[in-house]
Order: sequence, then structure tokens, then C-alpha cells
Amino acid sequence: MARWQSCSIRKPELQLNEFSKADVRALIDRARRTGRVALDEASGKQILSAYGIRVPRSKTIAGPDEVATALRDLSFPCALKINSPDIIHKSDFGGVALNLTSESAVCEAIARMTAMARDQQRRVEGFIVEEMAPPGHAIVIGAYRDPSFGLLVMFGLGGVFVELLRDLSFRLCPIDSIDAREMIGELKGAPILAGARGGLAVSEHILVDAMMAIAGRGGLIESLADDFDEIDINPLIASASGAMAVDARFVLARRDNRDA
Amino acid sequence: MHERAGQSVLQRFAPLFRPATIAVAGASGKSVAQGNAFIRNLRQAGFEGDIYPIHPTETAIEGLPAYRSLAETPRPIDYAFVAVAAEHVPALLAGANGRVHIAQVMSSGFGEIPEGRGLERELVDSARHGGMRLLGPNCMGTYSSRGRCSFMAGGVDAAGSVGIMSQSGGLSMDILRIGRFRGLRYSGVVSLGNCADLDAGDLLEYYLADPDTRVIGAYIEHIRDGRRFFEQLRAARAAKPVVILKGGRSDQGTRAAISHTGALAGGHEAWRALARQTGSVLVESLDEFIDTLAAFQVYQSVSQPPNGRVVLFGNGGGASVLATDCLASLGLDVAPLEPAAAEALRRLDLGAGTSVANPIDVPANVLQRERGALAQRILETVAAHATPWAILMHLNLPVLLGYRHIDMVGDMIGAAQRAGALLRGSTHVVLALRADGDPEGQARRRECSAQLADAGVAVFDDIANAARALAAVRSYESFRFVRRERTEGTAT
Repeated sequence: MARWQSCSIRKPELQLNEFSKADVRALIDRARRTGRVALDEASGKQILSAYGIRVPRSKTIAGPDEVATALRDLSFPCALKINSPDIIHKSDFGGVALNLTSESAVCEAIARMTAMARDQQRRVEGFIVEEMAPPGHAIVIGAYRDPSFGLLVMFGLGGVFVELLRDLSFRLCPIDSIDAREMIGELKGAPILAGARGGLAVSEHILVDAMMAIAGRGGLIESLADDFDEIDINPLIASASGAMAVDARFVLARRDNRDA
Repeated sequence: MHERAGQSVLQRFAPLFRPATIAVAGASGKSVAQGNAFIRNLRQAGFEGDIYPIHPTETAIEGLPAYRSLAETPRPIDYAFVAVAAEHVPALLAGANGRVHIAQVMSSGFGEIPEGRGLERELVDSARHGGMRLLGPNCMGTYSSRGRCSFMAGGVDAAGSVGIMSQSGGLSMDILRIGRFRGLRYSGVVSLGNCADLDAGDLLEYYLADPDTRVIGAYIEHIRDGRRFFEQLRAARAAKPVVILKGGRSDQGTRAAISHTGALAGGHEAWRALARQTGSVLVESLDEFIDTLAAFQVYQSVSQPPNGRVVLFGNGGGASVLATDCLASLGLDVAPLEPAAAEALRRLDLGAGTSVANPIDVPANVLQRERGALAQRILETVAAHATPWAILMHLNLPVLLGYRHIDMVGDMIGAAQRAGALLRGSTHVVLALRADGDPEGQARRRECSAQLADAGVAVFDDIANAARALAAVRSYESFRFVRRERTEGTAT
């Protein structure tokens, strides 16, 4: 029997877009009480949504029995992601399946990930079934705490190659819209985002709006500065129609930072 | 008395930069200790106020009456220089009875070593108890031409406009020494040491407010409250150029990062971000620090937008080619001259071996004609017909010195000086004087640096140094252009 069945499961019917900033506090406190190092993906996306960052429509499910119900409200293609407090880098683990186009494909992916988690002694709290974001450029927006300067925001070309490309720019929070535009301009890949060689063009204001929602005055980072030490939004898929956060990782502030 | 409420930052720091009374602890009646050297330095610098040696037993030191404690001097003490053994410092300060404004503690053996951290806390408490602000410990002192005090022998230079703070005492001496030969003139040089009380943010606040300071330079290793430093710079919106040399690239430490972002950030991103967000200039070496300060010392805003268009003018074809490459790599633009300017230069009929495109390359044998008047005419022609953002003039000193029958260097320096005056406020003019290590060339270059600094033209040892300094000026101006002029009054 898979271990996730013995774990307590978050209510799957929670609607992301109805989540408000007031609910964010309760969510963070709950995560802290349960001794988490980082929020699970669904919680992270609820926070993003509360601060005006679009996220794909998704359902949190306990296991294969709930797939059919979840898919009733979602359209294919879908992605499936494992939810485990023991797995922070899901794709490295093999806990992300993309472009699934049938119920059976979703169930197969669940079975595969469950077996893998069992073999590697990782707890499973459930899965996220989520609509695929429209095609676009993979962006990363992150934040981390410098011991002397406080929170910095990072912007760059995202996806799984972010460490290899290291095409990134950094600013101290909060930023203004001039900072945001300069951060985009600093990237070697800036022409790619602007549609180089016939590629997809993303208007600058879509990126600037997302950056300001996260790192601007009164934005997510400034509002939650005491709660998190590190944030990864990777990838944020930017297309002509807007930006959508497909994965998010919020590392809770360690006690020493909160007391400082 | 500790906070001295209601005083402006200028009033709070006046006792340091223009002291009327200085107490010196750590001078000996029998030998030449650090305190004795400090008193001698004060005399060489022409300090005109009262000097009070502090000593537990001696009655006279360096010919001055000595006092047993900081509380017993005839008048209150503006500035106390302390160089006694570390373990004696807390008691000395604690006994000041509110009669000292600022104490600068040279003694080491505090927070810079693990076993001294407790003593440093005790030091801070003692300073607070004694009613003073504290600089250091583990530092050199303060240099102020206007206050006629210095921590180095040899007196003070003419008062200037460059304000320096340094977390390394040794580097604060290097900056004074090297800068002196480059024509830098300081409004103050403060060695910060461990920053147990007053830190880089306090000195930044002072220099930003000080009307005598036009340019600020900071050597920083560790900053306790980086956020405050950043907020001060951001609020100043590049009102004065600030040049930062950051030592130590691993502030972030080895803390294990959980996220990608945490792992991708080294220790230096915060400083780079600070520079971009405040228009400050982050430099990589002491040479670049001095060069950039030299450029900003004579800085005057120009009517040209910061488009980075540079006209190169000098002798040496290969040097011109290399200079063009160097400028291009720094994002500066050695574009061909406007047709009218090129035509006007051609009409000067400079002769064979001369190129009047940009770069303008004129051999020394042509330049020597008319005792510098030709060089002058070339610069005036460029100014009249083209609108460069900067003119970088470069001269090969050994070649010029080879013309023994005339003072060709003097002639060319004169031309640069007149061009600088003519173009002040419209185009930046900088000069690279290339030399080969020959003592005559070195001496001549030193002399010219001071002369031209007074005329508003910065002089550099090499074209690459001049180019780097120009790039720094451009980044400063671009920031102001975007943040102050284009968006004036429209907060985003």
C-alpha cells in the first residue's frame, strides 16, 4: 500500500483563485506548525495567486481514485506533480510528468511516482493535476535573503537549465519599474524574450507586471519579507497572453532570521 | 549627551573633521610611541588647536602638559585619538564624563580576533557610558586638510573635494599616498576599522551632506547594516558620485541554500545590485578606485546626453587601434566623425601619416608644429563641428620628450588644458599620458596630473585606465539621466 494513503491529505477542492492575502497568513502559520522547511507547491501557488500572479488551473488529489473527478474540471494536456515534504526538487526526482493527454496516462504517472517514492523512502502527501500552461518562454523569478542587505530578487531565463545558463540579474527589494526593465535588459537572452529570429515575443509590460507583483513596493516579497528566506518561481511561463507560474518553492524563514 | 539630539550630521562630525581640541592617549614621555607620532603629525599638518596628551603618570609629553584622564583636560575634547593597549581602552573612555565628542581607537585586539569580541562589546558600552561616539577600533585615524590633522607624516595637502572612508587602515594610507601623486585632493580620509559604533553608513551620511565633498569613495569589507547604506544611497539619487571598492567576495558564506535562487547567488550580487539601483560605481581594484575618483574629482555635467560617443585624439597608430577596441569593449562608441567635422579637419591639411577620421591619429612630428597650437586647433575644430560626449586625448610621453629643442610636453599639456577649459560643460576631456617607466617621464606625468586636475582635466597612466574611468562616468550619468532628468517628479 502506498504511504500517501496513511498521510493526512489537504482538501482537494480548494479553489486557487479565491484565495486572498488574508488566507496567506493562516497558510504560512499552518506550514510552520507542522515543521515544514518549505511550502508545498499548491500552497506556494495559492500565495502567488493572492498576489496577482496567474497559475494554471489545477486540482490537488490524494491518489488515482480522484483522477477522474479532478479531470472533469480540467482540460488536456495536463501535468502531474508529486507532493512530498521530502522532495524539494521535483523534476530532479522524476516527480513531474508533462503533456499527459488521457486519464490512463495520469494514473500511470501516479503509479510510477508512487513506486519511486516508496523505493526511496519519501513520504507522499498527494499529487497535483494541472493544466499545461500555453507555450511561452521559461522565466525564473526568485528571492533570497542577504544577511546584510535583506531580500534580493533574481530574474532570468528559467527552466531546467537555469544553473547552466546563469543568465540572471539581481536587485535589492523592493524594485521599481525602471529596475524591472533594466533587469530584463541585462540578460543576454533579452532578445529571445523580445522574439529574436521569429520566436515568440513577450511584451515587456507582461514581464514588468509580474516582477512588480512579486518584488515591487507592497508586492509579495516585501509583504512576506519576514516569512521566507528563499523563493523560486521556476518556471514562470511568459507568452503573448501573459505570465503564468507553473512551479513555486517558498522556503520558510529560519528562526534566526525572524529574530534578527 | 550621547545622542546630542537635534544636531545635524554636519554638526555631529565637525569635531572630527575640524577639531579645536584633540586628546592623544598612547603617547609616551620616554619613547616615540604611536601617540607621539600622531602629535608630531598634527604639528607638521599645522594643527592650531589645543593638544592634550593623556597619561596616567607623566606630566609632560612632546613638550605639552599631560593629563591623567579625558575628564581632566582644560577644555572639552572634540576628538580623542587612542592608541593604548586594548585592555586599557574601555576604562579610559568610560572615564570621559561626557567631555569627548568622538574617539578614534587605533588599538587592535578587539573584534577582529575571536578572543577580542568580548572586549569590543565592553569598548562600545564604555564609549556610550563616557558619552562619545566611537570610530574604530583597529584603525589608523582621520585625515582632514581643513582641520589640519593627519595620521601620516608630511603634513596635509591643499583641501579638496574627495571624501574617503576605508575599512582598511593600510589602504587608507595607500589611497592618500597614491592619490596625492595623481592630483587627488581630499575633503577627508577616515579609517573606519572594525566599525564597532560609527560605520560606513554614518560616514556616507556625513559626506553626502558635506558641502566640501563632491565625490565619495568607500573601501568596504563587511557592512553590518547594508540595508541602511543602500537606502541612503537610493534616497540621494546619485546627487554625488559614489565609488565603492568592495573587498572580500564571499559575504554570503557557505550557508546551505535550499532553493535554486539561493544557490545561484554568490556573495557579490547585492553590491552589484546596489550599484545599479543607486548609480554608484563598483570598482575592482585600488588602481581603478583611484582612476575613477580622479575622473569624478573634476567631474562637471555636460550638455551632451550620455551616449558614450568618444573622439580619440593622439599620437600612435597602434595605440589608437587598441584604444578603439578597449573603448568598444566598455560600451563606448568611437564612431566616425560627422562629415562636417571630418571635412574641417581635412582643411587643416595635416599632411602624410595623419588620419582625421575617428580616431584622429597625428604623428608627433606634425603635432610639434606651432608649439601646440596645431593640437589646439584640432581640438577646437572637433568641438566646433562635432558633438562628442567625450574627447580622450592620448600622448606618448617618451616620444614627445625626444624633441629636446622644444618643450613639446608642456605645449601639448597646454593644449589639453585650454581644450578642457573651452569644452567644460559641453564635452568631457580626459588625457592619457603613456610612459615607459623612465624616471623623467614619470616625474613629468606627476607634475602634469596636478596641473591638469586644477584645470578640470583628469590624467591617466594609460588609455585603458582613462577608458574605464570614462565608462564609470557614463554609467553615473546614464543613471542620473534616467532617474533624475527623464523621470523628474514622476515617482514610479
